Amino acid sequence: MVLLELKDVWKSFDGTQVLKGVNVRVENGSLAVLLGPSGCGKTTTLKIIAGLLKPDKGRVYFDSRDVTYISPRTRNVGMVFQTLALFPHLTVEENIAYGLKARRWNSDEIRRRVKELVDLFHLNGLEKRLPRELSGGQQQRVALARAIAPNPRLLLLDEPLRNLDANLKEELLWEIKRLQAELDITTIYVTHDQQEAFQLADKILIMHEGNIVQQGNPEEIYSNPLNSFVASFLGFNILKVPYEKRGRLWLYKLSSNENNVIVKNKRGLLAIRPEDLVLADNPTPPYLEGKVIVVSYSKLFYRVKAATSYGNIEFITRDRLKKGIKVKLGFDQEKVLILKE
Amino acid sequence: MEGGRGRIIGLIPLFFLIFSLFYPISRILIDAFYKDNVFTLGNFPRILFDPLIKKAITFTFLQASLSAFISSLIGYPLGFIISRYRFPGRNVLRSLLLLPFMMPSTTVVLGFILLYGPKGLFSSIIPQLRMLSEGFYAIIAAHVFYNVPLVAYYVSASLSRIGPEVEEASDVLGASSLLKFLKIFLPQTLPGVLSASLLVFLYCFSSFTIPLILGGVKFRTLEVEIYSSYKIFFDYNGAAVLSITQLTMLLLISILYIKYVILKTEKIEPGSGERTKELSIKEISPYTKLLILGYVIVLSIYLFSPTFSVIAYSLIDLYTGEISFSPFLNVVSPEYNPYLGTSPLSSIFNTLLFSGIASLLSVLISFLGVINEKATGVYSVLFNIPLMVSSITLALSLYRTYGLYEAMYSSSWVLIALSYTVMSLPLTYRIIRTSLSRIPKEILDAAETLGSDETDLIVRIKIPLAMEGVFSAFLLSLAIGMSEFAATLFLAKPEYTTMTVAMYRFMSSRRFQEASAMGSLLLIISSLIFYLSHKLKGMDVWSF
Repeated sequence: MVLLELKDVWKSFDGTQVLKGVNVRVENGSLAVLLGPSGCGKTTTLKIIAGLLKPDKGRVYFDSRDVTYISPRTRNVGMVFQTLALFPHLTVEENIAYGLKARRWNSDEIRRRVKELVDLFHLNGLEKRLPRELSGGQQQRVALARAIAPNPRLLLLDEPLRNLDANLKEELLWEIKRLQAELDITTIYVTHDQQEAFQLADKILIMHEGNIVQQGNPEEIYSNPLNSFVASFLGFNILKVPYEKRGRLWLYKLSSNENNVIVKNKRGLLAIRPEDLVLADNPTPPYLEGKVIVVSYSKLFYRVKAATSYGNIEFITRDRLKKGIKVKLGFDQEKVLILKE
Repeated sequence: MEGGRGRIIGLIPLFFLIFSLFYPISRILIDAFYKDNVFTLGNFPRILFDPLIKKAITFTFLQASLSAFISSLIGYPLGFIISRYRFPGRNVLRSLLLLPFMMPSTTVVLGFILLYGPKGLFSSIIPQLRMLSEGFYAIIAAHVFYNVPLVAYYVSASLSRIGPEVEEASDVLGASSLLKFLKIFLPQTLPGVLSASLLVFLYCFSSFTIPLILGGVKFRTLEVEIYSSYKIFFDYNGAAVLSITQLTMLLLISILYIKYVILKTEKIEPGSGERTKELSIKEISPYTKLLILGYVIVLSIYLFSPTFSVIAYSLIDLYTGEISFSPFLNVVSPEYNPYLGTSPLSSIFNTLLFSGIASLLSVLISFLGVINEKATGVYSVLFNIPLMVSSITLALSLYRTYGLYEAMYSSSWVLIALSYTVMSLPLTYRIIRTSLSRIPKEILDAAETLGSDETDLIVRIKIPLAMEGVFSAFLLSLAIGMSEFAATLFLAKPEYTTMTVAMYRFMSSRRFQEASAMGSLLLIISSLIFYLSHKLKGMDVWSF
């Protein structure tokens, strides 16, 4: 367990600035998810935490101790890689024991620890198999077991579920969450999938173009995204609606109907969650008007995309709508956020 | 590598190259520029203005250019056919094409004598073919034999880089076959052919066995002249001058090769890329079919008959037609000891021992060179320098440097093993480097986060994962040593005779059946090696 801090970390590769002053703080024993689109610098950040890369500028602290220039082999950090990076020539148990041997554990301790992890990860019976003889999910569990084996202070997971199918992914997500809580180990999980992030995280760090743009617990972030990037990344509808000043307030006009307006004390872009839009024949203002362009079925409801004069929007409904029909969507003015352009 | 010990281990390859190559070469420089311990430039005009030497130099260039030109001309269609057309037996043909690569030069020469010499199988049918057993045409023919598959290989590799869609696009546009050839295939394959023909030129330039045995007194290459200056006339200054001259020329040609071929056509490396569009033999017009068929048959006979004639001649008595194993029995009997200066059996043992030691050493040195990552730039140049040094020059330099000491001379096998090691270093280094670079970065990162230090990483990850490469490097190096003839002939005292030298001795005394038996044994052993190295490819750890 460790309190992890990154202070003003910068890194560039071949002249491209990948990290631009990253600041991170992850509390003892919590599970933080580093979330962002691909290429935003997540993996680089993780490798700097592991010590596999050195920052150009800035510092990494474990429990307030500066570890920036300490080599990865002495940091005692467990890492699961995107490709899993299992050792192809070693069996399951040899993979798990690898870090223990490198740290000179004695053979009794190693045997006991490997057994413990084999049980914990339900790998019984697979001990003598080579990685290529395992299924994707089994390989994934071996990678986790191997990373956890030497009792690391910090666990780093770099999109470990990337190549798995949806059902298995779901199952392993629960397992990771359960294990993390059980082992009480500070964990950083990198992903580009917001579904995964919200399901797992105690804390979410949203990354964009080499910066952490927002951090907080999942509820906080979803209820109050700081800017339009975060909002649209989390699936908010972002609308550019013309506004005019009325005294100290701003008036957003949604249609030619005089009453169909939103009044806010800020100006900017409107952001509204898909689930806050309600389909109705004659909604009371405020409401949006649009034309259905795509309908997709997602088990409990339909997800519908519609074109409005202010941009495309997404909403959910239980009715099966036809493409091309006109819709009106009512909403509660209080649910609308105003974000900086 | 961290720490003092690591640094020294990483420098071992450098020390080795200095000891076994650079220092000995510098010793030859001294021979070339000194006479009776006095510095002089006089050795050069004395040797280089000698009419016989001038003739040898001219001949060396002439035969190398001609060999390269004819090999390219004959090899080009072959490369085209084996990658473009599907026909029965194509895969067999493809793998048999490896045969000339692994044939020791003495076996090739023997095969040519058996086929085209007096009472030869082919020359008794067509007497005009006699000219392929001795003299100018024989040398060119044997060089062509060796290098046609090489050209075919390069052509086929550069063709495989033309995706089917390129060709289909031009088909859709209605291009004629000739236009397609001129606009698509020729430009795409030209760098490959150029690259192959320069390589052929380089090989033939320092060719030794073929001109030595087939050239007689009239057609001698520079390499043969170096050998006889030293071994026959004991003129070490003269031999050194010739060596330096040859080395300079090889260096210049290699620089041209690297500058104009390798750097310009970096992508032309055999093996990768998509498959080219393939045509079934049925889709071709009857006339073309006949042409291709005739060409493939004649060429196959040309390429495979020397090997088969050596094997056949070791089993069949040409006069009585009887099949017997007596040549093999003769080879292992003490009856022939006087010809070789040792028993034929111990020549087999010597061959395996010298090349075994050399392969181990070569693999070890290469491995140490590869894992010293800080020196990659320097080592990737240094490890390739042996390619520019001919076998006789290497042998001469080793002998002049270390052979004069009584202790070293009486164990001249050390020098033989050293020369094999130096010769195989470029190949072993390259194979081992490739196999180590295939280990994904994340695997090494994973080991490091798990606490592996540098030594642990090498022992537990790098060596096991590069094992396949290390093994195949070892086997190929073994094959190089076993087929080596020139340096061995130069260095070996009679008791250190190897199989190729034994073959040469048998041939010199016109005991062709015994030479064939020895040649067959050598073929069996080297086929076994190639089979093994091929088998290894199946045990790829990355196959998941």
